[in-house]
Amino acid sequence: MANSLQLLKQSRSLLSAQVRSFHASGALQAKTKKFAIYRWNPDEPGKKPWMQEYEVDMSTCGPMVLDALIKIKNEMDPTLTFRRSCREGICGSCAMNIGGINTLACISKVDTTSGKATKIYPLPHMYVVKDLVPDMNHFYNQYKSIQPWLQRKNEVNMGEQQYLQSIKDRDKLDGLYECILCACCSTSCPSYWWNGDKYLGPAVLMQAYRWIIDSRDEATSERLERMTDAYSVYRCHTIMNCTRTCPKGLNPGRAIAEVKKLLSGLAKKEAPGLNAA
Amino acid sequence: MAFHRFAGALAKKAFKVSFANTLLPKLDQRFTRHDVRCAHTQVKKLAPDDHRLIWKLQRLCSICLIIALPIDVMYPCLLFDNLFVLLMALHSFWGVNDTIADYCRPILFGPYFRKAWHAIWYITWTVGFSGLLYLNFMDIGFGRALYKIWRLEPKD
Repeated sequence: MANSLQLLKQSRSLLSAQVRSFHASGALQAKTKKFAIYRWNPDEPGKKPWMQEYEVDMSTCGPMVLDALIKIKNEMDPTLTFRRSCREGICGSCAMNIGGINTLACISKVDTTSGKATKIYPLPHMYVVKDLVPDMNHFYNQYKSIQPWLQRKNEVNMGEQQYLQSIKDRDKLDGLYECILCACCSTSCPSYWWNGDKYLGPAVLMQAYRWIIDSRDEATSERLERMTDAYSVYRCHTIMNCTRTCPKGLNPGRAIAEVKKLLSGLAKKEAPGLNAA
Repeated sequence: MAFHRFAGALAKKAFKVSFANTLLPKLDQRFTRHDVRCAHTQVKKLAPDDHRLIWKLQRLCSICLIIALPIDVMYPCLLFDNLFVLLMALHSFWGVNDTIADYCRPILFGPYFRKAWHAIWYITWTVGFSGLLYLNFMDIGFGRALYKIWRLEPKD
């Protein structure tokens, strides 16, 4: 009896040890993913930028790259700096270069199929403020330069009446107004890399086109007149990196082509379907 | 009227000066405190050069080239030879000029690098274009020369 009890005890401890080791091995084999992230700290002026590797346990991490970045910042390295806000692809803050492609970290899934580290850089050819944070001042100033607001010769008093627009005219804005100005397209464009000081870049040009073809806008010729020089628009060589990389699936390349057509007079802006006011 | 305009311009200038003296240094201090590198935030206002006509001519030239090449090879004569050579010269002139404008950037190489490359290209282009004209006027012409290079019969 004592022997059988002893045996039972032993077998139970063996079983529990097995169960424990099973779970332990499960924990050991947890899917981890390596990230190699661009680091640069302005407070250490002598130090050059470097790549830092982090290993993230994907069984306790959300599926997107932004989830991994937030996990790294929370649990491993609070000095890692990046922009993020909406975490659902509508604010454009977390635009960065992930695995060689400009995209939003919040809507790009972590590649768990590869054992290699996913490389994350800030948006290419931008001045870096810190780590993954690029300086967007020039981009925003270029956006400002196209005067991105409705301009009319005779404005109605605020709140008194609406500007009318036909359904067909409104449809022309689809695929343009959705742009969140994340700058993924502009910073993927070689022409923008080389001549970004004078060339406006795909994101800004698509917004210029958005206001040019708005049936309610009456400053079309002035808008076009501002872009007749050799650099603002004509540095676009239809490379189409912009359209390929746009995380919102828009087509800035087409918009620039339409601007070129309007500039050359090969196309004309249609008369509004409804009298706006 | 003229006085009003003058007064307006003066006021604008005064505002600019006072703005530069008061607000800008503060902004600069704020940004440079951590030695943050910032881009030139000024969007450059360009000289009012009109690129529209050149752009249209470039497209027209490219389309004409596609038509002119087979015609010149099929019916080689002085007119077609010269027409094709002129189109090709224009096409390459604009193409290489644009390439120089793209890649020889003043930001990286200074203002003279681009000018030097433009000068080298103008010389090369002049020599090349003259050579092709010589081929047309003094030799067998471009169309026949192209045919001679690509013909399948063994050489005499």
